[in-house]
Amino acid sequence: MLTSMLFLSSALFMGWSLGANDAANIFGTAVGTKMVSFRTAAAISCLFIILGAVVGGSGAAHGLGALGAIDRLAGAFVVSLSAAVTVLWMTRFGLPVSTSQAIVGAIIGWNLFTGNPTDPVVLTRIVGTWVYGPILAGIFAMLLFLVVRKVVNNSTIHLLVLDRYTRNALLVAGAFGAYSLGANNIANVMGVFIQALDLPAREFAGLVLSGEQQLFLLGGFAIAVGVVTFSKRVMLTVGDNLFKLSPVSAFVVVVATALVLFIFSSTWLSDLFVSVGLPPIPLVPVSQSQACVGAVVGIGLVKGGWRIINYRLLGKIGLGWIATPMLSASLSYVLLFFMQNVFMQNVQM
Amino acid sequence: MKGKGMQVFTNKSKELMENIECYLTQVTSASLHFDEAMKDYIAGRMVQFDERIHAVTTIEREADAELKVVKYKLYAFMLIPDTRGDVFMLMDDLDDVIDYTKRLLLELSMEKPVFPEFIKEDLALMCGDSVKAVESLMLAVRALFSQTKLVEEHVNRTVFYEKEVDRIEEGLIRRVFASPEIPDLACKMQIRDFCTRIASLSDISEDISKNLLVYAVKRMV
Repeated sequence: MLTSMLFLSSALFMGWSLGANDAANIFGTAVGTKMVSFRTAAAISCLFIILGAVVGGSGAAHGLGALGAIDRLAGAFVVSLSAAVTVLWMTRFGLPVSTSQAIVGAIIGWNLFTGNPTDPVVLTRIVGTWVYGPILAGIFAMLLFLVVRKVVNNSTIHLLVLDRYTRNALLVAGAFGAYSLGANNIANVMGVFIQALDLPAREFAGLVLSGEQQLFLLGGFAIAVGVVTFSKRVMLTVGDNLFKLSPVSAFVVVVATALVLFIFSSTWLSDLFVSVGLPPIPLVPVSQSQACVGAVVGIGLVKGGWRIINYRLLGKIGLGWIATPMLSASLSYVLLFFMQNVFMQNVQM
Repeated sequence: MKGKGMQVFTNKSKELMENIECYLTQVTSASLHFDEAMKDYIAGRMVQFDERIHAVTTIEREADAELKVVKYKLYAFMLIPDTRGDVFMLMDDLDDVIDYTKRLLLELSMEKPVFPEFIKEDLALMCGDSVKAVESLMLAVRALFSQTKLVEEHVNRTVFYEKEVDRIEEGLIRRVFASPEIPDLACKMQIRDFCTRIASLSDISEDISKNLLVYAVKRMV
């Protein structure tokens, strides 16, 4: 038990890091503009992230598992730690880092170290979502923004009433965003531990949770701790760098991003696609930051074309996207070597 | 069913809307009283003129009290800080309109300038256009709250009336200084001064309307 908890510590750290950084993409503008108090934002984020992780976390987690079947706790610990340290380093360089890409890089590092092949089909599917994610978010944001703009600009709703609607919309969108983040990105936190740690089903408050769901619950709590302890500072600064968002634009960005994360984690939606003869949706963790940037760019295009986007910062983000998986893969490889040869822990069966 | 907290909030919001509406009505009333007061003064109906001054003074006092309530409620119940700041500034600016009309009427009653017959018609026209500028401004303000798209149209009207007032003002001043009917330079300067002050009401309206346009652009999604 103690050993398991020790090895899970890297996942908890990863979860904390995700909560500290990614919750800002959901409630950043709302808290930054003081429309929603941090306390309310944190409470909604925590509740819905945990709910999303436990209820809908399975799809993306299994999608990530297909990239590398990490079957020992020591290996999972190193992979998770490498991704978490990469996220921390990239954050210190001031780059909007992607947790999803860090974990994928770390798994590839494990595959390289253990000599397991990396399935090119799975890898292509995952990397494909890195491209589709922001594009899809951009399209959603453009469509949603056009609809919202038409409704708001042509409405005769009193400014004060609209003010209240906007706040409520931000809260609902935030809840959806938090749910989708939990459902999709819990794979980054706990995905590598699913095969390495076999937990029996347990009953919690009348609910029977499978071993996998218990891991997701734990990961959800770690994310929640990250939200509560560290996300406030990030929330207060988010939105100022790439593109200044109005509350209405922030609502559009959050919904568009959440839709993308939801689509890539919903087994129900994927099954629905299959049932009507469409190809299944690849259920893999996608970068919330990337989707967020895609949505912001989408709104930027509708509002005033490419000229109002900060290209220098976009370039920095793009650099981070390439550097993140490479850095985490290298780190994972080196740390796995130490784990196996210095700490004498097997990193695979 | 709405929660109790939301119900309380909705009522407060409604209260604030009513307070703002009441305040806007007071600004409009003050400008209408100003128009009537000017007509009375020009026609020499001094009793009615004094009654109008009393009415404007009362409105100004009540509007100050209402503004205080609006400002408090804006910060207590309105949620978007950016919009709140804009509404706050706008309400403050509108207070200048009431204050100005009251001050101008009081100055008239204290200084009692004598307007020669040949400028009375244009003077009344200038007062009317100044008030029209205020009325257009008030329509623009109301549009900001419920139909942002119309703000620009009303602002354009305000600007139009301000230009009209400037045109009339210039003609009036030229005629006053060219006229042999007013031999005293001091009288000419006093009349010019009052013409400028009356015209300033439309300048104030124009300045506010320009800020209003910015608030409207910010509100448009």
